Amino acid sequence: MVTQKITIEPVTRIEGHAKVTINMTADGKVDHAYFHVNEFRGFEKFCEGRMVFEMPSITPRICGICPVSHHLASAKAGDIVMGSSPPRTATLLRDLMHMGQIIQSHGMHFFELAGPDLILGFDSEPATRNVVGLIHADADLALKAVALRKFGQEIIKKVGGRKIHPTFAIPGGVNRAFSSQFRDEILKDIDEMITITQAGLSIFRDWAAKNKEDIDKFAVFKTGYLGLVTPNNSLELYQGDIRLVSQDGKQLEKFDSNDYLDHIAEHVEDWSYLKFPYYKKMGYPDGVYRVGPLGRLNAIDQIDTPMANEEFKIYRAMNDGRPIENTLHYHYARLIETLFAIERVKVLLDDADILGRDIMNTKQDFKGEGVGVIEAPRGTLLHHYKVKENGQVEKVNLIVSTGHNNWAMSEAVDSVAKTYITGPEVHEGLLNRVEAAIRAHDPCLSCSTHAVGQMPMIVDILDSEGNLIKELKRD
Amino acid sequence: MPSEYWRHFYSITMDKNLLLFGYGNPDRGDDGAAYHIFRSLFAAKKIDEEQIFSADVIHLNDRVDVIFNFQLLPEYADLVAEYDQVVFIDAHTAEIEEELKLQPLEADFQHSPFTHHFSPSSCLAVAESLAGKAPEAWLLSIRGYEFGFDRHLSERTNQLVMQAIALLHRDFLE
Repeated sequence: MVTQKITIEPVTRIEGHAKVTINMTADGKVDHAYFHVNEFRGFEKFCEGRMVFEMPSITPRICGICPVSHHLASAKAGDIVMGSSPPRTATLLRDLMHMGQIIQSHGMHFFELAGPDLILGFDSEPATRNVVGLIHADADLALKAVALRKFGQEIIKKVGGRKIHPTFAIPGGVNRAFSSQFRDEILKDIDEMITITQAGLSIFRDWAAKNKEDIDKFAVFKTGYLGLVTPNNSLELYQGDIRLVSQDGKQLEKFDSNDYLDHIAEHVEDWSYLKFPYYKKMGYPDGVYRVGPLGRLNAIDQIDTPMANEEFKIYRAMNDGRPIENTLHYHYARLIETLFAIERVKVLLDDADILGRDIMNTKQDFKGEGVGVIEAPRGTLLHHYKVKENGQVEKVNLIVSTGHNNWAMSEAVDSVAKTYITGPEVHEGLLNRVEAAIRAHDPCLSCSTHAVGQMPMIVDILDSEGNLIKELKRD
Repeated sequence: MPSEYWRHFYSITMDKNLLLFGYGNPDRGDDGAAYHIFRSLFAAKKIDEEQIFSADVIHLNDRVDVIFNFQLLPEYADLVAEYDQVVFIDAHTAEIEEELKLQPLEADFQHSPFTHHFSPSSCLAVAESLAGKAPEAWLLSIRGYEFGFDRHLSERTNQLVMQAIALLHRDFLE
């Protein structure tokens, strides 16, 4: 019989949101743990009726954490809807802005959110196991981390004109050319940012060497992996085909984003508002996959920038060339991607076309439907629009990064709870590991739910024989 | 207006540099309360309201700066540390009893599993650690009733925003 229920519910400004529920049996073992998303949103409905050219300005408002990703995915969908491919300079500038977003988001996550767990330890005092404790433990590193964040944000501002509510990308291109002054200002900081990121990698490797036992039992499980790739299956964050590989790393599919509905479906569970995407041919749950840094690095064959590729070889060798299944290695993958993004910034800035003035394609061949895809910091982000001939949006479907990882997050929570909670006494360090299982995926829930009027929230509490002892339902 | 609100403001002296730090999503209805407050302040000073979205510091007058973003983020800690006093402005839910609440803040890091939950007290704690000092700070929060996708405030929150604007005008801008 379930005798104890532990709930970890973050304080939020907006009511609802997500929580973890751990059901325990009478003898103090975890029966099952769930990661619930009980936030109810309706952003897709909100967009219907708007003009397609407005969408790149509207969709970043879904979320304040990765507005650039929504902005660019939306503009890319608009490119296809309007049949208006951006000129090369516009594509380079969008890519550059995107790298700024990757650097600032990944930098914040590793150094300010996950770093304290790794550097100070899961079992350290909660009062010090945070970025403040990290500052006291290594003030120099903390200041460098702030510099990395600012570097990413400055790129966004220099390219787009402002840090939030970007109005930069529009269907067919961008509305602002770049200056040689901004190019040079960014270039002068590249080496320092690489040094900071390599310091982060060094920290992670040291930590991983000392905590291998933890890493090898902390939410390790098999899934498929999905991400954008270049034509030769290298890491790609801005544009390319979507590649899905199996749990053994073999390619299952490689497809254009406009064909995503042929390959991806979404499962609904009655205990989460957030849907569970999966690979259609394998069904649910066999076809579940992971996205984000770990998913992307498991879905590629190499990285096209030299320093990141050297680190990728070390990463890939950890499991004899097969995909890395350890959830905690999301952090490692995130740092490798940060290194790639900084190197990529230099590649983009060294391209003479970045200063071009041909930034907008005014020719249009209206298609009426389009899918924009981008690798947001947290994973693959899809914007799918159907648009009337007058430019008014008829239907919107968004599959956001956190949605793709929904199954994996819940599995990680269940796995960690079962591994580390072995008796009735539940210590802070154990609960923090459960949180860390979620945190590794860097979920962003404020943009990830969209099931208007489809599903109430149901909480079932079962005894050890599966008998329903209580049902909570919220319509 | 309950007297406790005034008591907090009386401790703010006019010769110190002050930052008004508003955050919230203007497209989530009442979550954008701070945005609507800043629109009014900017209009009074004939500042283009589009600048609210620059996420940069805007000088409201010789003594008062404002900044707005969707969410409070860790990198603002070093900005916050530059000021003597900071008033964070946000919306709140039913968990807080008062409809309009001004409360003094202490530097106190609050743990969260998610990237996008960073409290003003946590911001102060990071500021204190980075710069060796945290400003005197308050949180002015306004009860929100509707958090759906809407660019307008609910009627009840709009009334509270008007009160908050009046309060800020009297104590900081005049």
